[in-house]
Amino acid sequence: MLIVTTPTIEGKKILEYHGLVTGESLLGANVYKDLFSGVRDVVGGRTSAYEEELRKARSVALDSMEEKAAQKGANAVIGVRLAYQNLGGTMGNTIMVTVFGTAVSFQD
Amino acid sequence: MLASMENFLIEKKWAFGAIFIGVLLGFLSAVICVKGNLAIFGFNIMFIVSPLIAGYVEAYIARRKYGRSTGAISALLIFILINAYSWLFPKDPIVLNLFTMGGLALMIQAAFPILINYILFVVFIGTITWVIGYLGNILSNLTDKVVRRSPEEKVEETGIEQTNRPDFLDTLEYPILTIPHISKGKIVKHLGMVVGEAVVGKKSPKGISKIVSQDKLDDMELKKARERAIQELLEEARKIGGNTVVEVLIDYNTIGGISGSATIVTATGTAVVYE
Repeated sequence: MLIVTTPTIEGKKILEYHGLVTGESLLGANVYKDLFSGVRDVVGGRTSAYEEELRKARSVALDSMEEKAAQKGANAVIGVRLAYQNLGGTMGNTIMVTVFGTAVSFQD
Repeated sequence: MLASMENFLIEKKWAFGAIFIGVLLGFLSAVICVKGNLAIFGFNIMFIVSPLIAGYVEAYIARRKYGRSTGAISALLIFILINAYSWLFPKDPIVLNLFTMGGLALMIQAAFPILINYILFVVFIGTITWVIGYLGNILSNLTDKVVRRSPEEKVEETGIEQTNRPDFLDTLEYPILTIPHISKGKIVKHLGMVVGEAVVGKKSPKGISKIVSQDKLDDMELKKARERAIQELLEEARKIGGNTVVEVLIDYNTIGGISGSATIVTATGTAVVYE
């Protein structure tokens, strides 16, 4: 499935608009992960514990959006936006990754 | 003047009532504890139980009748009252041992939860983290020396990054765009969405110094993170066969609670084949 952030697909004709599709996923960052990313910071290296988790959360959100688009019979999603929200908390943090776009069918 | 005072009192009567009842019940429980000598290893449980009872009762009544929280004032009052009593009239003097220390910690935690949580989760864990990191650093330096890994490898690695980094955006064959089209040239094919992410923490040390030091923009390493995110974006685009990215959006997001904060920089766009 083609996923683009642009409103059109270059050189392709959009046949049908199926409407809005969304996907979400939550990512909990906890004290232990903070601890280890802290260790890495001191040793020298990037906070890859977070980046790995972020990547996972993003792919989960994208997958669920793709699934919804496929259910509607679409073969592409256009105008996709990706947003990260911080849900706060005292002990740790929950990060919500949301992704939304318009499901369309285009002529190949 | 008098009328406004009266109005104020009528308006807040349940708030004061809640605090009063809370204090009363807390005091009652403290009296029962003292009379019944409810002590565990010489430590009277009233230190923990009474502020908790007072605070709980006050919060319950305030929420039911007043509609808002009153901020556990009675718990604080009881806390001060009990401490004054036990330090001024030590009927059975408090002995400092492990149990009384634990009890004291619990009592302070009940009275000032945020402060104690901060000390527990930020200062304490921060210190441990720093120590582990410091030891790890020494260890890795030592093993470097023992194994005699040549330092040239490292230099070369940073060298590549540096030649790549400072103005890598200007040396690109095709420019990265934040708009969907460009009048010069043509987009041949849309390949799909690509994302680059980078997480940065603060450079400033953890622990107590974090409270006193002021945040500066230099501390955040935002520039480095942004460049890394864009680089990742470009790499991903090249991996799926594109030669540039259009409609790039850069977004900054802060995650952080009591135990420190980090900033996520994300770059999203659509990889294209561009001529």
